[in-house]
Formats: sequence, C-alpha cells, structure tokens
Amino acid sequence: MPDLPAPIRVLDDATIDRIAAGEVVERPASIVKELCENALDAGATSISVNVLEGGLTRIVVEDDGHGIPFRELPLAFERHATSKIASAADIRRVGSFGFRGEALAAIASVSRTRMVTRCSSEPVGGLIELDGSAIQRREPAPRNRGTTVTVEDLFYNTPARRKFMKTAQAEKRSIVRTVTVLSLAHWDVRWQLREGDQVLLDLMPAGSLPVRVRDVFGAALAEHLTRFEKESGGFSVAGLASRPTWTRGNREQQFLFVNRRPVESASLSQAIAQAYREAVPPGKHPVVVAFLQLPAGEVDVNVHPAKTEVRLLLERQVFGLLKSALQEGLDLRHAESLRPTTESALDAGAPVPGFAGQQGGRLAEAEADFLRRHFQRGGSAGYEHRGVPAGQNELFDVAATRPAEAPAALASPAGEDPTLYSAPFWQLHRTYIVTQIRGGLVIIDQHNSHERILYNQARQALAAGGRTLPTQQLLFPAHLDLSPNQLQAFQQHRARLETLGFLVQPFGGQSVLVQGIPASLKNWNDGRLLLDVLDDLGREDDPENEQQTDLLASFACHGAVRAGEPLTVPEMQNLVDQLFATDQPLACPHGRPTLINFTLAELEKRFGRRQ
Amino acid sequence: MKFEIQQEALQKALDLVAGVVPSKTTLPILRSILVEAEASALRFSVTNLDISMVTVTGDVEIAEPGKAAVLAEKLTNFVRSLAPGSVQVTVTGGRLFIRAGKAALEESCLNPDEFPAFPSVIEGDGLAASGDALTAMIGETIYSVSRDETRPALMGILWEVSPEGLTMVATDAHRLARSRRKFEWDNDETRSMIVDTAGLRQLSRVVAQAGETPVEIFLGQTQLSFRAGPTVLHTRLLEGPFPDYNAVIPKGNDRIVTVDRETLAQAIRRVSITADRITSQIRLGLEKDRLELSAKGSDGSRAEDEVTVGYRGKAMEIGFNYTYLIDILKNMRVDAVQLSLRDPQSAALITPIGEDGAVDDSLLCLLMPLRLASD
Repeated sequence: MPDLPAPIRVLDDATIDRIAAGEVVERPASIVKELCENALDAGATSISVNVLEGGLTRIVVEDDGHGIPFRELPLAFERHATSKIASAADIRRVGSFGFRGEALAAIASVSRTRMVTRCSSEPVGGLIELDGSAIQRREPAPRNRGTTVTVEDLFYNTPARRKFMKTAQAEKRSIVRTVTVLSLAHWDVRWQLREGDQVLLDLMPAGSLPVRVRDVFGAALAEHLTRFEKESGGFSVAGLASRPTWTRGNREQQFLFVNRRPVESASLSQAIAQAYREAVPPGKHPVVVAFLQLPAGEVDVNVHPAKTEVRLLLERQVFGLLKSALQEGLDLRHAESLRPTTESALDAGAPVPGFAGQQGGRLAEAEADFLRRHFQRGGSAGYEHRGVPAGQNELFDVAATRPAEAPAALASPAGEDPTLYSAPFWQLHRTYIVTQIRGGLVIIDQHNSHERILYNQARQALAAGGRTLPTQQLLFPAHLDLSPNQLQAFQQHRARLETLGFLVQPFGGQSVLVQGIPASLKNWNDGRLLLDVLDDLGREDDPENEQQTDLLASFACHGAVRAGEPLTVPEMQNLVDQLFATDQPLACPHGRPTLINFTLAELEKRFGRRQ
Repeated sequence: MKFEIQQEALQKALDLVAGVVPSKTTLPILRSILVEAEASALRFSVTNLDISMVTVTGDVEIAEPGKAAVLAEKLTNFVRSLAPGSVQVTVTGGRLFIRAGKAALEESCLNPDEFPAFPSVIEGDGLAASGDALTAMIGETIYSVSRDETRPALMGILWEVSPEGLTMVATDAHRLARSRRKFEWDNDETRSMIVDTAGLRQLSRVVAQAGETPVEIFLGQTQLSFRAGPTVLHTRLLEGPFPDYNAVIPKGNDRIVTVDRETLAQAIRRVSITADRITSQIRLGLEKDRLELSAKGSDGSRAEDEVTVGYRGKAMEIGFNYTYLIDILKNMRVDAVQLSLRDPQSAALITPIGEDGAVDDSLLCLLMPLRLASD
C-alpha cells in the first residue's frame, strides 16, 4: 500500500482547547494569574491562593467576588465564552483583565478542574467538575458568595508538556512573583498565598501603594523609595522608585503596570535604565513600581494570550513620560537631604528619619527646642538625649538647670573658636571626605565627585556651542610629542578641546605646544592629562556620535583629583558645594556612586540605641 | 646625665627645635630630641632627614655629662606647662626624670645611638646676611611655590647667589615671584640651587630667636646650612632643573597702571564673593584712570566695583584668578603697586612702588591671565 497522506480534518473542540492551552497555560503561575485576574474582575476584596508542589499537583484560588450564576456554569468553560466583552469593537476599550474567554476552557482542558461558586443573587451555589474539558459533575452546592477554583493534576493528559515543567521550587518562585505583582497593583485587596500549610504571603488590604510596598518588601527598602508622578497629553504615570543608593543586581524588582495590568515591555525597561543611566553603576538596577494610566484605546494587550506583553500605540510618548517622571522625581530631592550641614538633625526640629515614629513628633520637637535654647548648635550635645524614652519629661527639667555648668566648648557662643563647629569636613586616607548632613553623615569619594563636576561643566560648555571655558595661560608653555594616534585624535577634537579651555597649537611634525589649560584643573600633570585624553580618544572603534561623550568622560576622569591627593578644608568645601550644584550629584559619569550615606537611624541601630 | 637649667632657657631651646620633629614618621627615633650634655653646654638636635637643627645653650649647670634621646612631645609640653624656675633633669637606666618644684615627669627614653648621623659640623665662616632680609625675601616668594608633585623642582625656591647678593624665585607655572637683595658679603662665587621650602620656613624661627645677629649661609653640594647665634639649620636641596625664568619675564609691557594696594585688594575681595568657585576668575576692565572689577558666579550671581587708578593706555579687559592676585598684593608691604600689561593673553607684571614714587625692582611678581570665557 502506498503511503496515503492523512486526510485533512477539522479538529474537535477538545483538541483545539488543548492547543490553545499551550499559549495561555504555560505553567502553573499562568493559571494562578488567570484565576486571580478572574477574581479581580469579579470584584473580589480578598483572594487566597493555595498551591501544592509548585502548583503542579494542585492550585486552589478562592475569592469573595460576585460569583457565577448556576445556569451559566457550563458556559464558563466553553471556549470564547466571556461575560466581559460582547463584540470585537469592545476589545479596544476593554478595561477588565480577561476578555478572550479562553482561560477557563484552556485550564480545564489540561487538568482536572472543579469550581464551586455562588452568585449573591442566588440562594445556593453550584459545583462543576471537569476532567480534561469533559463535564463530570454539575450540581447545586453550598458556598458563601464568591468562587473557588481547584485545578489538579496539571498536564496529566499532555505528558510531553508536563516534562517541560521546571522543578516545583522554580514553579513556586514564579507563582510568588505572580501574586506579588498582582498584589502591588491591587493594594486594596487582601492577598494570601500558601503552599500547603506554609504561608508565603499574607497581605492585609493597604490604604496606599507605599504601605503595600513596605508590607511586601520590608521597611528597609521602603526608606529608600521616592514617589514620582507626572502627567502629559492624557497619559499619566505614578509610582515609587528607589534612589540610586539602593540598587539590585537584576530587574526582578521592577514592576510595570499599564492600566493596572502587569506588563513586560522592553521599551519601558529601557526608559527606566536611561533615567538612571548616570546615577547607578553598570549592571545595577533600581527598584521601580510604576503605574501607567493610558486611555484603553492606546494600548494593545491582545498581542499575546498571556497578555504580559503590551504594545503601546504611542510608545515614544510613554517612554519619555516614564523617563522624565523618574528623573524629576527621584533624584534632586534626595540630594537636597544629603547636602552637608553643621546643623544636627535636632536643630531644625525635624524628627530624625525613622525616629519620630518611636518617640512621637511632639517629644522630638520639645527635645530640639530644649537643645536650641541651651546649646546653640546642639550638634554635639544632642547625643545626651537620644535615648530618652517617651514620658520621661522630668529629665528635661533636671537638665534645664544645668546650662551654667555645661562645658564651655559645648555652649559655643558666637566669638569662640569657630573651627570647633564650622569645619565639618574631614579627609580620610586622602581619598574620602566625611561630613555631617541633616539626619546622618556622608562619605564622599573625592575623585568620583570631582569627575562629576568637571564632566557636567564641560558638557555644559560643549552644549552651549562655542562658549569657551576660561583658560589659565601657562607661564612655561608645554611642548608635547604626540604619537600618530594621538595626533589624529587631536586634529579631530581640536575645536572641542579649545572649548574646554585648552590652548593648543600644532608645533611642527608630531608635536604640539600647550599655552593654556582649563582653569578648573587642579593640576594637569605637566601635560600627561592631555596625552591620556588623546590616548582614550585615539581608539579606532569610536563611533562618531559617542565622540563627544567619550571626550567629556575622559577629560573628567583624567582631570579630577586622584585618590591620595591631600585637600584643604576650603578645597573640600568647594568640592562638595560644586558637587551639589550639579544636576546629578549622586554618581560620577561612569555611574559609580559619589557618596555613601549613613543615617542616624543606622548608627543608632549599630550602637544598640534602638532595635 | 644630670643637669640643672632655668625653665625659660629650656623652653626656648625646645620650642625652637620641636618644629622640625615630624609628627608622622615610620622611624620612631625621629620623634625624639637628642640631648647631649658636655662640659659646660647643652646641645639639642632634631632631624626629619630633610631638615636638621642643632641649638646649644650654655646657661646650664651640668652635674654629669651624657646623652639621651627623649621623645619630643611630652617633654616639650611638660616643660611649657611649668612655672619659671629651676628644673632638674636626670637620665638614668634609660629613663628620664624631670623635677621642678613639686612637679615631676618620668619617661622612658630611646637609644641615643640610633639617632641618625648628622651632617658634618660647620667649620669656618659663611656668607653673612641680614636675617630679617632673608625672612622678608622668603615671605615674598614662598606663596608662589608649586604644589604639583609631578614637578618637584617647582616645589622649592630657586636661590641665585652672586658676589653682589641673592635672588630668590618661586613659580607654579601660573605665576612667578622674584625677590632680590644686595648683600655686601665676602663671596666671589655665582651659584644657583633649589631649596626645600620646609627648611626655609624653619629659618624664620631661627632668625627670630637670634635677634640682630647676622645669619651665616654655607653652600653645600646637597644641602644649604645656616648658622644664627647658637643655632645651626641644615636643609636639603632639590634636584633641578628650574625653568629659565628670565625668558618668561616680559620686557615690552607698555600699559601701565598704578593703584593703591589696599584699595585694590579690598575691591578684589569684594567682587570675588561671586566668582566662580572652580575657576576663581575675576575680570578687570581698564579705561582712562579707571579700573572696573567684576565677577560672575556659575549660579548667575554677579558683583562689581570700581577703583580709581593711574592709567593712560587704551581700554582693555583681562581676566585673572583672584586668589593669585590677592596672594601677590598681600605679600607686598607697600602703599602703592604698579601693574604692567600688554594684552589679555600675556603675562602681567606687578611691582611695588617705593616711597619715592619709583618702581622698586627688588620684588617682581608675574601673573598669567585667565583667558576670559567668550560668552
């Protein structure tokens, strides 16, 4: 018998469902996501998820939503059956999470599924059991308002798929992430996630996103988050982002939502990366929870059945909005609080971060007031009162009788040696500058900081086009011999170098004569600076559009004070002032941090003054 | 070793030498003062290997000769804290005992044999010069010394000794100060050398202590030595070459400004308040008999002032680092100065004007301008 081709057949529904399931039900976490989104669409205020063996053996999702009427139960598991849209026209403005009408059918086709549900309008609930799409049981059953879906033996009828599942541990991690993501978008919902008896997440309804974020990630991270928001052209974005001082090695803690729907978007991730580019070192990623609100018509969630990838119709605008919202929101406010000050946190009456909660604002204020009255500057005296427990007000009275015997050095009336208090800069190991800020102390890297200053100043000059920076003329012009590469780089960049303040003339053959150098340079190592910069620029793989950035970075790096150079107090003061005058004071142009901040709260913790 | 000495004499000797003792050193012995009691004199020696100083006092009663290396810090502080009166010092069994009235100090000593060997003792007479003149010349130049460790020669002061006198020059490649004086000394040699500034700073202390006594200068191959009264100071020389400074002193600066020194300094201080903190740039605008000063900060602030000067040349503008200008004016002890310029790119010369109204060429300061930003 010759081999006859198999006849073309229309697939039966069960097979179609199973194929479709491959798209929707990739792994247990996708089932959890679909079921939770159904629960949210049903208006649930409490959602509980219980899984066994990473969801491969059993997934139970329970909600208190509006339920499904008994007579519609079989329909719920029909493919493309949905209550959420009525026609194709609705798809463009869909506001609910599900709408394809595929999820339940797909889930049922690859597992043993059981649903118990009661609609509030009906006196009793109903139960339906399916086994790979085939309805096994359907009968009235008792239940409070809401729905419970139990999915067991996932992929029991598609053994090939089951083989592709990762370990239960990996599936569990994926489920935790799924529920975490949903809980961030729906902070007003109570979420519980358990594996058997073990509680993985238990989140009470929160009044706001920051509260939910703190509950999920802990207070330590929450302290490093800044709120951001921005609106433009009918789009808005809001959320929380970590300051550049708190980063992670991967993007695990970046959460993006479009119209409250968790999404993954390479373009939006890129927007985050660009916003932080000069603020965090390469390979480090900030923590971001961002909510984009777009008109439903501007976003296409129908790209993939799992709906995690979205297509934004106005991608460019949304990209820009997110980037600028982060840049404006995250950075400068934090930098302001890092500005060095001789004031102690107590002087201003502002409660020490993290301290007010324990002690109560009123007492902190009373304390600050006391210190203001009796110790002009309070900074060094403050420690005496750090540990006063609430309610011990009499101690203030006792102390208040003491000013007469207070050591003269603490009282520091105007006219006494001001250096005691007004020299708040120390240089450590000729490399770091330590100084006091409101609410703590910072350690500043002198090289990275100066690099940032020079870079910004030079960038400004080049951007302004033609505005030349001041040049310090040299008394003894330096005669430099260039290598062929250096000479080429010099010819290419001559105009830019002049804008930066170099006064260089060709001097025959391979040599140049330097008659002036940028006035901002502390020293230029007798010409080595220029040679180093030209070396950096002489690389052949330098694309045209990066040349300017490379010149700036190289100039800043070679011109900046090195680790190991002694600085005087005025020099340190100047450096710090200049640093904080830049628009990006927290990182050098390479993204390395310029400073490390220690809060009083941290110090108190280390000294055992607080838990 | 055992001797008795008046507190004032002891403190005077210790104060003089203690400045040389290094505060940080990897060689513990350098933190000590070598005290040697001989027949009728007491000798104190210190060194930090670059500078060494020896001073001798005869106002002492030596009961038992000997020597000891005593840690400088506690000894000096203790002696300073004592009331005037007699002090008994005994060193025995490696321990130092000081007693003054009821006050007493006991301290362990270091091994005096570990104290570094000293430069050879000076013989004969040196070149005699007025100590005050030397101190003044050092003050007129030392602020221009470079701090750039990549050009060590510029970190010292150039001394040019000639039969007629002495010239000192310091420069950091942005500015230069040259001070010269005539000395009637017995010298037929012309030599130049670069002298470490740390040693020259000590010289002023030695001069102050010696009073009117002239300072004798001894020119060595690797060191320069001074003797003033009972004290000898040795300081090392730096490796050259020093740049050819004569070649950069302009000859044709024909725009001449005369101005009251203090008035100018005050106006500079006033406008510099808004000067850019990185470049320290201020702008001088010259018109007939008028000098306008202004400074712009990077934050948009601006300050200006105007002083009356003597000026007949063409109007011009020139920029300077104001800290350099202040340094120069601060170190000229005269009422009026002369500023001579050529153009905004060329070196400016600043010289004092003597009481007779003529330029005093014993001091000359050169300052390179800051090219004005084209904005």
